Amino acid sequence: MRLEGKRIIALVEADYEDLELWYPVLRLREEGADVVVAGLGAETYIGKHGLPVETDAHVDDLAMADFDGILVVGGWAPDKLRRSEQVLELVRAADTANKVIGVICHGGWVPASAGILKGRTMTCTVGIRDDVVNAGATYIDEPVVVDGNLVTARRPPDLPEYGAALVNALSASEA
Amino acid sequence: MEQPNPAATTEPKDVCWPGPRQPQNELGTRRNQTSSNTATDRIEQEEPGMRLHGKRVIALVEADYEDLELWYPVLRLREEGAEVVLAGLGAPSYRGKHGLPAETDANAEDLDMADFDAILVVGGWAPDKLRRSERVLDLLRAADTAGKLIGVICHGGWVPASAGILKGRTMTCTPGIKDDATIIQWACRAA
Repeated sequence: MRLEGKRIIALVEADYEDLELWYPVLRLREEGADVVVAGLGAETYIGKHGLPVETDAHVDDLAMADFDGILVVGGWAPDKLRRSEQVLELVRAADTANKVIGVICHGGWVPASAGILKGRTMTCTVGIRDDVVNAGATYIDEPVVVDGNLVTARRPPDLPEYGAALVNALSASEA
Repeated sequence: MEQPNPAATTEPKDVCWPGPRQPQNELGTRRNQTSSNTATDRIEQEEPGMRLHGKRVIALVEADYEDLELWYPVLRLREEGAEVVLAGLGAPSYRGKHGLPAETDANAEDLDMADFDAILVVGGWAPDKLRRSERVLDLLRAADTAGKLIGVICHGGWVPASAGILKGRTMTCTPGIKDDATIIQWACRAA
């Protein structure tokens, strides 16, 4: 159990990419982490393919000081999440404190709106490659890119490597 | 491991779905092609080890499979370096109970357990179909005879029940099929 005692926020909203949420959530729980699924107020969200998820919290009630990392799912959820100033604050606070930020696929929109991508190296779905480059990041076409506390992956086929990278990054963090 | 296929890595496909594993997408091969002279830390630098490298696993699937009961084990075993073959009863793809698609790599009836180290039986309504295939039941029996790992979750218990390999075994399953399993155990004790 490499992540016992670690607390992680998993952001979710409507039309999240089903496995991009569930694989990391279950993977970190397998290692003993407490993963809190948090959205913008609804009790339940349905993924793009139809998987339901019940939320544990509203993002407005969370403080990054209580957590060791934060995950941003892909699908269309990040289009909603990036409009929440509280979501952006959580991501900025995680970055300032050098806490792990895991981002996959279209999830890259959220750190782009949070303004934390200048000078960072990352990957994402090719669909938003221009957006992360415009936000100041260097895009690399690889399954997983780890740039300090920022762990990024392209899309669902990269989930096995993304899971391993998240567990490694979180187990190495001191919080 | 398959040899790297340079052509396969140069075109980023934006298909947001895992799908079947292509040889060029096997874990490890793409990493070997990457240069390491950028500022980023590469995943392999911290990787504690691929515990299932070289293992080959069959993941049985059929219509209305339980979505996460298929995908979490499949992705998790792939994370550890295993080759997981998704095998149904002939369709190129299936939808889960909740709607997740799964493209198959093979027809289960064409597979030989001698080529694999383990077999997984998903839940949902897929096992109601899978248990009707004598070839699927033979795969389970062959795995059991050879002492190979058989992973079964939820309604998946129907398949080893039909394969006749549960006598005297201790197991769990969804409460919905508890009677199917305990009847077998009762029959065993009575025999």
